[in-house]
Amino acid sequence: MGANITVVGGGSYHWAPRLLADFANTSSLNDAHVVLHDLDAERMMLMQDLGAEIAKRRGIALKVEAEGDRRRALEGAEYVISAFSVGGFDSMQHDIEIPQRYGIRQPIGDSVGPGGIMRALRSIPVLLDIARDIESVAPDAWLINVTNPLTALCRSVTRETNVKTVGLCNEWVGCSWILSLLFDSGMNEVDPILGGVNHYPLATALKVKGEDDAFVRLHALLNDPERAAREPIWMDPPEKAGWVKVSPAEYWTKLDVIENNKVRFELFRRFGVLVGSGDHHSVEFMPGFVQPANDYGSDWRVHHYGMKGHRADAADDVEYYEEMRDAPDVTRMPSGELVAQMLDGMVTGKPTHLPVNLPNDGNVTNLDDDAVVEIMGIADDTGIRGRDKTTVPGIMGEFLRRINVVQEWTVEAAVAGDRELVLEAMLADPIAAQLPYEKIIEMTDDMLGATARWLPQFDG
Amino acid sequence: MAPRIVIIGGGSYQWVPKLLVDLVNTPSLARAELVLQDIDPAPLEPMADFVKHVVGVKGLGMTVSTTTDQRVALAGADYVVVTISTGGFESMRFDLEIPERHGIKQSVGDSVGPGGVMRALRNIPVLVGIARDMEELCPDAWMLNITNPMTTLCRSMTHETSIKTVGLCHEIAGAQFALSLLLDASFLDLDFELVGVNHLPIFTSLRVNGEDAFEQLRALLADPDGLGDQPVNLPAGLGEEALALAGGVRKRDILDHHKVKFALFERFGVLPGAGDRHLVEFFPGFLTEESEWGKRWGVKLTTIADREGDAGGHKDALAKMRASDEVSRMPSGEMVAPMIDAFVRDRPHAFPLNLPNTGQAPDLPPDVVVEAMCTADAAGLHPRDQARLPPMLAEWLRRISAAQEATVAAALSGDREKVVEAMLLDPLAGRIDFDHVEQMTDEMLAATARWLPQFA
Repeated sequence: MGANITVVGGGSYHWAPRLLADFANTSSLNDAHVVLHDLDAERMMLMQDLGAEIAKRRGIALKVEAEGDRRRALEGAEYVISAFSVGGFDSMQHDIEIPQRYGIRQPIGDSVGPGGIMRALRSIPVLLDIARDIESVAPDAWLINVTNPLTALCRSVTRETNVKTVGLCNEWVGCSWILSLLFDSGMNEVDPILGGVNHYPLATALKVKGEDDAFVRLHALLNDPERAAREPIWMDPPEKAGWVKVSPAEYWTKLDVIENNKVRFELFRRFGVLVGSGDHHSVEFMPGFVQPANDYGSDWRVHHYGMKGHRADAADDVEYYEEMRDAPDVTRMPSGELVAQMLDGMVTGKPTHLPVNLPNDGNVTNLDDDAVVEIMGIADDTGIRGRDKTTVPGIMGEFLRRINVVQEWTVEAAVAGDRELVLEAMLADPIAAQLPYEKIIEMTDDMLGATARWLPQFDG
Repeated sequence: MAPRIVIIGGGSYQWVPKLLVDLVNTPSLARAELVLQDIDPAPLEPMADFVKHVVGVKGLGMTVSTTTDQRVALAGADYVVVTISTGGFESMRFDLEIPERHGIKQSVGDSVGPGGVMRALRNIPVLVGIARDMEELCPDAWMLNITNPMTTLCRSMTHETSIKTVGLCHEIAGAQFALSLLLDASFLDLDFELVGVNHLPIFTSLRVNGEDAFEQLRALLADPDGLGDQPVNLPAGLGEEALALAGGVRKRDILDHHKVKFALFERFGVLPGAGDRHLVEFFPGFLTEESEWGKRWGVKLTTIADREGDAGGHKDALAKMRASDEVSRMPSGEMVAPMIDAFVRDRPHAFPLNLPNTGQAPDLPPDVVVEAMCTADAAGLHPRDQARLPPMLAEWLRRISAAQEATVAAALSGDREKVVEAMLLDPLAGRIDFDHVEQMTDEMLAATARWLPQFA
């Protein structure tokens, strides 16, 4: 009997094709029963057809059906994946553009900062509705949340419901690729101890190929740019990464890796903690890297997604779907997302180590037990649990603590529908707090006003 | 036994004369042995001369001696008052000018922010030196610190030495005075709880004769026009300068003089108790270009020129007091004399004091130095309340406190990297871009290197 998996937001051009291909490429999930639920009936049907096509091409028992009624879609589910966006680009543009009028430029705006806070306010009530449905029709199911802002969303579920929740994000996968380039290793030979929150996962220790001196070797490499400029890397960066060639060599070198992840390695050099997310994410937690004086991060090669980037991603997703639909076979390339990998561990019982977002439960000593943290976890037939206990040292630990306070207040504000709490989250948020006091108040009002139709909890 | 009271930095024209007036006006200290120590001998004689003059006029048994030798001064001391400034205005100038070049203007520069960090780096080793001598020469004496930045200085004492240390600051007295004028209450009828750090102490409750004065304040703030031109009732014996301190002659002026604290009060329901010029350095959202660097909030930036002007005034004031046979009976608002009085008479008295957190600030980590109401008696100092803050301000204080802990660590270690870290954690210094935080730090360290032997 295959795993029962429900995807809420199952019409997503981004998620549905990737999940279905990964399921087809994971033998323990070949016979899964996947229910796609979406508010967009048309796209939900497209994805159902894609699922049928994948099953047929591969000759596997994978069963994919669309279900427009959410409660029915959730009945009998063992695993519920939530992947949705409330208001899509229409709402998101206010997250980016209103702060920009006040002089704030957010590279992405999906985790913290004014954009992340607003997105949480919109998404949390929807996720809680889903979680309450799970409580009533599938109370033993795991909720696997991949929707941003991941930390605040997962925390809202653990705070308000009894649903078992895990958040998954592929940022660390990107970091393990970067490290594999510097250490001439495979990506799966890179093993960190993580303690942080989503989009700000912090490696406090690192093993590569089983050796635990990786941080020492990394410091040595960073201190020897001439060597880094000579040493080739085992794979050229994909064009999409948009890297700038810095080293004089004709081939891509380790110096290029370092120079195109400038913030990450500057922080590591200085504070001894390796940030596991891309610089465009981590600078939203440390806005000193995005200031007029450094041309809003361009001195640090921080890539600004903006609405343009978000729209381009969406266009890529459609293209990816179309390619998959029209290809003679199903791609064998893993999507890089962690859902199938984690489910494989849970279904087979084979312990699978991966970065997960879970209630802290003492693992990251800097944060409250109730906080949702991103740490290395183990998934097996007993569920998912945190693997390592760690303390983030010094200033990075304090930055982490500060941001987590804002995340907790964001959840509180979203649940209560309280404007004053929203303002307090903004006042304490490192990005928003750069503004004059009265401008923070004004910007918060502007953002709440512009997105009011997606914020029913603030009515009246 | 007559207490031996030593003032290190006893040549300070700004601080010492008013402390001396308070001491001679305190009957329990009439036979005290005063020792004024300063590395600069020049002002010591006029200070001692003033004390002798007053002792003669009032017929007291108090003695006074002067020395430039710290160890001579400290031998056998019961109370050691510390009022120093390492490098004086000469060093302080860099605290303000260098950050300004990087886009940070400070209204005072003596508590937090880049100036507060640097001042701590200069003064902490000197205070540790005093405490080391005390450990040897008067290990049971109390250190009464009135030097800024008070929180980090006191914290370095409790972190590094065994000397009993308390920080005394007049800001609460100032706020208390302004509130008493606004509420038509007697200064002493105000009853409150407070918690915070120095220059950011926060009243969490305020009563006048048992009535909730926060309610009254809210009513005033809801209709400030209702005050019209109502004048304040100045208590007898107080001069015009007291009114300038509070904000003006009308109640409206007082509201206008404390815009920042009342804005925070209206939002969070608790009332910061230091002057707005201090508060804005903790809440840099009030100290931005848009508000003309605080001007729209009624905050004026204190410049070195202002300080130099004040210094001349302090010197003249001492000469004037020396020339008179009258001694003012008005308490200065400083707590040195009243606190020693409470100690020697074992007469319990409550003061707002800076002490290690042993529970009086439940929102802050243990051991950090916090400002809260404490009782002084012969047995020592005892935190009185456990005041809690609304979440936003509790979090803000935790951030400030983290930056202060990093500042102390930097000052004690002499590690440049740790200074950068303290700056990055500080809400005011950490506002600018990452590279400039480091550049500013390096420039400040270089410009003041001669006062920072631990970084050599």
